[in-house]
Amino acid sequence: MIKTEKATKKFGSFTALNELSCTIPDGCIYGLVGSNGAGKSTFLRLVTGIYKPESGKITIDDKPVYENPEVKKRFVFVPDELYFLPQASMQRMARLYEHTYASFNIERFQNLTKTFGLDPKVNLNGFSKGMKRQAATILALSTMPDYIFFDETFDGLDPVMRNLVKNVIYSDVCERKATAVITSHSLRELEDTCDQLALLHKGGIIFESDIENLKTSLFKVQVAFDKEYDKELFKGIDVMNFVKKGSVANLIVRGNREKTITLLQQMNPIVLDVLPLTLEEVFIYEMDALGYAFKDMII
Amino acid sequence: MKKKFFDKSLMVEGLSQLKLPGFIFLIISVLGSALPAIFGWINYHSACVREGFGSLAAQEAKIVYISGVTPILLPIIYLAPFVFCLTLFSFLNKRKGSDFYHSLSATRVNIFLSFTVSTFIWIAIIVLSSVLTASFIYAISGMTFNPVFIPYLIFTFFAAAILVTACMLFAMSITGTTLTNIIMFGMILFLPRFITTLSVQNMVNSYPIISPDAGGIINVQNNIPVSFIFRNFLGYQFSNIQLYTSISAIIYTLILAIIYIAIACLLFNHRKSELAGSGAPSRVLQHIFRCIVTLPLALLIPLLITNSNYNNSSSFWRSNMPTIITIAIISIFIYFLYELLTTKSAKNMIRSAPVLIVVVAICAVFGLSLNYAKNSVLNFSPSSSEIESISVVQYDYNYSSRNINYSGLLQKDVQFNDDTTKNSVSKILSDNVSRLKSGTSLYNSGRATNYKVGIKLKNGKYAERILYADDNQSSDIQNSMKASSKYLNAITQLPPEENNVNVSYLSDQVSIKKLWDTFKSEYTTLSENDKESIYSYTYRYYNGSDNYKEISIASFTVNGNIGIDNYTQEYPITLKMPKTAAMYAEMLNAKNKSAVKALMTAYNGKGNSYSSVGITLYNDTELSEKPVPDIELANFNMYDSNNSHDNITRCFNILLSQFDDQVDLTKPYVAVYFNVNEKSYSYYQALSNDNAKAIYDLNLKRNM
Repeated sequence: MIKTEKATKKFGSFTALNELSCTIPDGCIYGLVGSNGAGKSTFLRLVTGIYKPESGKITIDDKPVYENPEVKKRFVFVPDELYFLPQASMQRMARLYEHTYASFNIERFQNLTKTFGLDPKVNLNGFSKGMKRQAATILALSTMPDYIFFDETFDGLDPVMRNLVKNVIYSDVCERKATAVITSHSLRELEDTCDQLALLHKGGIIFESDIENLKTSLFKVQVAFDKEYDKELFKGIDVMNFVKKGSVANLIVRGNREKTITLLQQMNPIVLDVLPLTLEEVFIYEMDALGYAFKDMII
Repeated sequence: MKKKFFDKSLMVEGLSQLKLPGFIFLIISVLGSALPAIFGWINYHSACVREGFGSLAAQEAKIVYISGVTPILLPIIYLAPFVFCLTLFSFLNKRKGSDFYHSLSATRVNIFLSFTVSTFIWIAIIVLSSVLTASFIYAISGMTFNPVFIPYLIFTFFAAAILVTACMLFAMSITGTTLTNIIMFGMILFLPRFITTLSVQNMVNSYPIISPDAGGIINVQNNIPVSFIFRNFLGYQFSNIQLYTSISAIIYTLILAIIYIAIACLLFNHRKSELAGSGAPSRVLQHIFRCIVTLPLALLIPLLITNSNYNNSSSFWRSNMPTIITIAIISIFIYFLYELLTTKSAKNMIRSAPVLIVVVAICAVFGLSLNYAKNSVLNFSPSSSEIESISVVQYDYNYSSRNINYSGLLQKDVQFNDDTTKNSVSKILSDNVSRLKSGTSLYNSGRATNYKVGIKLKNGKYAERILYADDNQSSDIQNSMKASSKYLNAITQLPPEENNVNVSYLSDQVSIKKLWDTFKSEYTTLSENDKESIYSYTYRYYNGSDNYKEISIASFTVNGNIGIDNYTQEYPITLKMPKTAAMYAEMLNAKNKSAVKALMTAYNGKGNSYSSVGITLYNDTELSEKPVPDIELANFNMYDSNNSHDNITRCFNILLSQFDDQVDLTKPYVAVYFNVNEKSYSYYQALSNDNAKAIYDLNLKRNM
């Protein structure tokens, strides 16, 4: 389990992370979403022991991460800006990884390279942006880590490769019980990948939830009656948002879907439709409830 | 789990990353060592074919000097470590590289030490390969190569390269761009020595009673990579033998390297990954770096001011103010330029202005410190009663004590605590200090003899001084020193047999050994005074005019070492050793007889085709039984010039008439010298009284 307790990181006078606390359980795919400059990359660099926090604690399985080889050998980090040795090929980088990661699995590297259709002998400078990211992902996954940290994982990948990468991550999480932490500035990218999502804003986590829970606990209901009505009609229902145009009202409801439908049917509406919400819409309404103007965050 | 400080896999990775530059430098250094050795052999072989195997030219071409073994390593000990560090530790200058390495499971110390070892291994491979390649070629070529050079060269170059590596690592640990890496590297390697060297130079120039190798450990010779460069630019008078064979310099250089590496490791450990790409880790350090970069030039101002003993006068300021102002302006320019180049911010450049006061303050403190140090020198003039003991070494001003002679090395251990010697030293020092205080020069003041003295006071204080003694003072101190049997032994003992002996104009080692053995046996028969005169090399006896008696014919040069101290000592073959002198003349004549006869015969007024021709007639020498009375000079020289071709021709004709007579050094004789096509010939010829007179008359005519 990854745990951060009031971790603070400053760069000069700028506070990138401000007393950030969170817990990432093992065996999940944890998504961290936030606008540019929210602190996502800084968070990952703290968790991977690259940065030392000004204050607070960061532990993996209750052991501190910073300058702790015993902990650090269990994870690998794929950053947003990739690093390769000058004029190196994937094969050369594999040798570097072999020297630096005791658990590096050369067979897995070869298999993944074949799966992704990359030539390991070609100079990486000749790869496209997406191919370089694929190469970095292959090298990282070949280290057989317990924890995988991806920063802007899908940046530059085409939809086919994106799916391929997602599937590889899934298989690691499912088969080897690994834990993946993925950051992105796009909710849509993380929507179908992650189990848990957290929203980072201005150096702090302002919202964190299980995705399944997010998707099912909020829904939109479109309802119409042949009589005059207002929000008071729906007193027994947890309505987060009520918009009425003419005789049709759109309700954003939190709660059990079946129970809510049953209650509404008892009111004899002339129109009753239940519509799913996108994750973005869920976030908007959740943020609203918390007092944040989500659209101002420009994710 | 215990943290590892070193990881073999990381070290192997480092070796692999350095493969390309490593092999390039290896090939350059091996070729650069092999080729001079091969060319040296070709040169020797050509000289043998051209001049003969036993010829002087061949003998000289055969000798391999230590500086000629692997000259290619001189630039490589700077370039290779520099390139290796920039290659292997380049991740410190890029955020993505820095982040990658800091995310690895190795600790920072582990990464640093493992990669540092990789660098050292490549350096060792290059140095060893170069030295052994050249040594092997010289050894199989039959040239005169001293295998003792091998360990000295290996350790000297290795120590130098390690220190350069350490300085580069130090610089890279505290900076985050290539430009600042290079600037800080230069500052770390050179600035401390630059300051100490200029300070010592400044002191010595102002007060020549300070020994040029003052400062002990801070003397520039102890820092090998710095001394190689400063020798070329600051004109230091230390020889190649000193540079390459100094065990103290090797030890000091290695210790300094270890200290710098330890500091670099500590800094690397605390270095933030986010420093990569920044000139300095913090604004405070940026200020410090900027000030350091400005100092080498700015410090010249207080050096200039304190260099003169007349800096109270308006004329000093009038003449030096333009220079001072120019240096100040350029220093300020460098100060701001550094900020602009490293932060690329004009705003930062302007904001850095107030910190310039720190540079001014450092210069002021430096100048005051120098002044204080100089005043301390002038204030050191103890009375005889304050002195506990003294060591005295006769000193050749043109050479530092590292080029000391054998007797000097033995003298260093002789302590004088008698009142007479203490009194003499105290008086001379007091006299020298008074002259300096009054602004009077010690040079050309009749104080022709120098002594390097170590003065230990009863209060424990110790200082070394160079004393300038006139004839009377020198005589006093010499007489008091000679009362010590240890001192007498030091100045009269000959070096051990196995040391390297050379003698003027002879190169055949068998002959030289025979000559040296004869010298030693005759030396034992000399009086203590005569032995002492050999040590002090008083080989000229001036009778107040240019007419002087010759008392030596040639000299031995003996090189060797006592422990880590090298020495070179000359032993003149004086005419009080008639057997040695006669043997030398005989050996030289046997070697050059036919060549000289041919040259004299062919001369016939063709002096222009010879580089130099000379004749010296010795009428009255230490050995003379009966000089020619009509010749009023003890000896005189005739050199070939445009006006003297005819006279020289006539001299040669006279000499040729008696050419085959055996020379007898107890009677008047002539020494003939030729230098033709870069070859030198000497020959000692017998002379009858009539012939001597005839040559004397020719000389008189020439001078009319």
